Amino acid sequence: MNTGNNRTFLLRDVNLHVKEGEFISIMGPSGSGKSTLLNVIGMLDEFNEGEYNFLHESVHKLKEKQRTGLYKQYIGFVFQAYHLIDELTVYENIETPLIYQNIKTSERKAMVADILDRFNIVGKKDLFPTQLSGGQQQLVGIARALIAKPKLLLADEPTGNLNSKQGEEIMNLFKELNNEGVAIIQVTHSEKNASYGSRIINLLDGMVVK
Amino acid sequence: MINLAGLGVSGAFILLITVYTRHALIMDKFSAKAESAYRIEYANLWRKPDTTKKKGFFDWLAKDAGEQYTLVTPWIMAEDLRRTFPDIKEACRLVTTSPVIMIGNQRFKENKKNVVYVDKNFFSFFDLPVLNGTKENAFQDNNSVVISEQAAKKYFGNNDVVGKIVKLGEDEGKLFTVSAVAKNFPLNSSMQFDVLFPIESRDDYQEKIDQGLNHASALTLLQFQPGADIALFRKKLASFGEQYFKSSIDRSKKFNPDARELKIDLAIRSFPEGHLNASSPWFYFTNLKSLYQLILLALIALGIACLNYILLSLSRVASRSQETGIRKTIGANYKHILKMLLTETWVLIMLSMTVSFVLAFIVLPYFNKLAEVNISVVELLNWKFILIAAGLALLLTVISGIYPAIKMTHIRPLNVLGKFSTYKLNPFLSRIFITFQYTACTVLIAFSIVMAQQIKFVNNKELGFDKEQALIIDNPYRFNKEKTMMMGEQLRQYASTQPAIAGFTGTDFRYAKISNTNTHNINGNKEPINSLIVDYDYFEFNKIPVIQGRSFSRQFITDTSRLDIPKEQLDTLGGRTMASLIVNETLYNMLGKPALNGVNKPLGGIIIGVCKDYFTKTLEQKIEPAYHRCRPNLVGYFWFRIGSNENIASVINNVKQKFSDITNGAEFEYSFMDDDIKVLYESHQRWFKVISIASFMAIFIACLGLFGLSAVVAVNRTKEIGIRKVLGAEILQLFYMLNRQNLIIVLLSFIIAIPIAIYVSKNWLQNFAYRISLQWSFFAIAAIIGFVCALIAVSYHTLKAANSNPVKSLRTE
Repeated sequence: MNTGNNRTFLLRDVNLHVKEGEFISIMGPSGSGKSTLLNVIGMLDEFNEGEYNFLHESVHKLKEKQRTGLYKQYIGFVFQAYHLIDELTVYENIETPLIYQNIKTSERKAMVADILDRFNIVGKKDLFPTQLSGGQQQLVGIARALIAKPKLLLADEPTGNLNSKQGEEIMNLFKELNNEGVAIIQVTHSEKNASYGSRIINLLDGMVVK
Repeated sequence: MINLAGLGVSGAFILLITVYTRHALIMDKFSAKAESAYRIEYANLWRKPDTTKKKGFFDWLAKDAGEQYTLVTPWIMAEDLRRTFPDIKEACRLVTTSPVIMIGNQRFKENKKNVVYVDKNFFSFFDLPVLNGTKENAFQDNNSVVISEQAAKKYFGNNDVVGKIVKLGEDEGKLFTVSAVAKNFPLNSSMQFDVLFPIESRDDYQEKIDQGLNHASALTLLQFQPGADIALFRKKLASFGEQYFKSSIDRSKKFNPDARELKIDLAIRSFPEGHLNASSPWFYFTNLKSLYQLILLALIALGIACLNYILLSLSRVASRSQETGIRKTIGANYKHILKMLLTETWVLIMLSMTVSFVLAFIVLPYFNKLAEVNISVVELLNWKFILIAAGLALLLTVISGIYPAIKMTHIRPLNVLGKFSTYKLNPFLSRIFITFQYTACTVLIAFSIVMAQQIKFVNNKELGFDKEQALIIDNPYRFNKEKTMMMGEQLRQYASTQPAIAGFTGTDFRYAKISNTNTHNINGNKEPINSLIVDYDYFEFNKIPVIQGRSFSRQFITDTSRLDIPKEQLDTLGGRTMASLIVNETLYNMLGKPALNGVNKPLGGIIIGVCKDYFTKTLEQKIEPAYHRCRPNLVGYFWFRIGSNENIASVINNVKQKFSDITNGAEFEYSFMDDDIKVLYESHQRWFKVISIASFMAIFIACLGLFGLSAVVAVNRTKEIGIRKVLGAEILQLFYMLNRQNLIIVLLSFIIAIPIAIYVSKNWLQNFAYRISLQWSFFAIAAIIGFVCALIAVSYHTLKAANSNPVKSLRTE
């Protein structure tokens, strides 16, 4: 990535192979490039050099539209600040990704009902995000990330804004999801949370530390 | 920058209209005596009140501004009034004229605006300054003439001209001695005379006086004694008028026995208000109706600009809320921030005022042309005016700056610094703004489309005769039967020998300038019928088909002579023509399709033919009943048809040469029929221009507002846009989501606008007897233009927001 005249590498020589169904934790101090790596994997950020193969596609060769199509279908995001849309209810928040995948209303209804049921938040479906606790909001965030049945879940410090009890619940949920076959890559500061994963990658100044 | 442009443009518009209004208000208030002067006017005896035209709101506002009263009075009236009413201090008569002035061998053709016969007290009557001598003695005797500074310069090259000789008229002209030079008339005077002769100098003065009430051509102006009761005078004058004009009224009653409203209504009108009324002949006319309409337009423009300013400032509030938050955390209080924001508004408004002045300055010449006024730059740069403008700017600052400022001071710093959510615009408010703006825009656009269509319609409408390549020249010998006859014969002879000239005829009228109307009893009604005098070949020349009977022909001597019709066959009470007539279809139908070639009682003549209806007046009026008489010795105009593909300039030159030979160098005045017709619609054309400029500006300003609003939306919803993008939203979906509401409101405003536009258009179309029917497509086009503009306006910010990388907007660290 270029800034001004100096060429600064936000990420450098990162060589990572993620298998289907894997659970990876990325660790490292602030500014080490964890989030950038996650964004690149999530196809939100572009990169200047190198290759990125996702399933059978070469992401670096794809056009924007195809890329959007790809991550829409296969990738779900969970954020530290939840990033729910304040103006929409829980139900609508969860439904949104399906709208963008042009899924029919009746089908959407069934899918959202399923996931509400599964996360035990049926009673909260008509509330707005601000009426929920942090843990509940994050639950909705995860539900929204999973609604389109992605193969890969990207989580940027999903428990960063939660207390330890809520955090633990979320991590257990992740574990459960992973067991069902969803690959997860999470960025975390906590050793404890990292230990939920099957592999830990340490980053320092944009490079992978062994 | 956007703010500046919007306010500057609308400011310039308002400025011009204010100057225009002021110009109208100070017109003819150049001296205390001018302000205290009154003119005599009275309802015309012969005119049929026009009740057919629908009166709109602006007609109501303008009161009797559109009414045409008679201003010309008998020459003896001034003296009679003064004798009767001691309240009258002095009276002054004016008779304008358009003579040729000779200075040595130099010949100057002057027009009615510049040359006048006046009573000798003219200069003291109006308190107008004279350079040499006193106002009272400007005219020494009946051979004196007073000329203005500019005339002195034009005639003699300098101002030192007292004692020089001015000749009025050519060959046997009368000689006058310059007795004084008048200062050029003030700019705000409707009178702009250059040459003033004493009225008594006229050879026919005594004759006119002797004619008494039978001749009227002088404007009579009055000054009252100090303390005179004007209201009482008005009453007394009205009853005086009844007596004074009794003989005329009686005579017309005899002619028109069942006329109900034969009242003379003698009245006075304050001299400075004279130009606000459409009566003629007057020196200047301010169309109050269009002035009011312009003021309304200016108010709408101001409203849109102010709303716009508020909208755009609010969008700045949104983007500057961070800054305000920081200022507050470092200790700025309510007052500091309010002061800062109001100062900013003030500076901006002052800047845009400057822009307005500069713009108005640049546009002034065009505006003068458009509004048909002569406003000088001096009037625009009047210090009082600038002061008022500054005051207005202050007011504007308070009105449009205070709301955003207060909103901004209410921002809670923690909310702004900590979270994404910034200031949120009250959606109800912004919706009202957009509705108002787009309603105004759509009405204006639709109205200008309707106007354009109607103007196209009147210009292309088949008039029933051939208007192309018709050269019309004035007959200098009008009213002189022998000379006219001789001239007509010579020109006809000439025309037949010229291959470039395809036809020749003559008339006593010009298109839309028919003054000759006779009243006839038809089916028990008094009907005014246009009486048209034509030469042979008139119908052939104009390609007007004669559908029954025959055209005028030299083979029938009765076509041009007065018929001897026995008295028993005539209508004793109605008009009688005693001539062979060709009537138009309208009249023929009105008469009940009588048999041709017999005496027609209502007309008092013999109908020999019926021609197809054709227009002789503007499309504002229905085709009126008319009859034609063939009187080659009474024509006032000669018509030549120039063959197509001929060199028009050389034909004119040749005709002019011939004309000059016949008349020994008389003034050659000519025009073309198609030009004459175009001129008739000039005022509509001008009004169309004003409206289209206004609608262009309105849509521009309204789009700026929407542009600003879309910026607010984009800022406020940055985070949401980011989330939605991550969730897979595409740009078009985001664009739709962001603008849906605003665009729906724009569509809604069309629904409000269309009935208004229909009302306004219909109202305007009432001006025309022949008009287009309103079509949905006009309004649809207006709506589409408005919508496309709105779409473009919202695109920039929202597309930018929709295109932005969600990673940036969602970063939390």
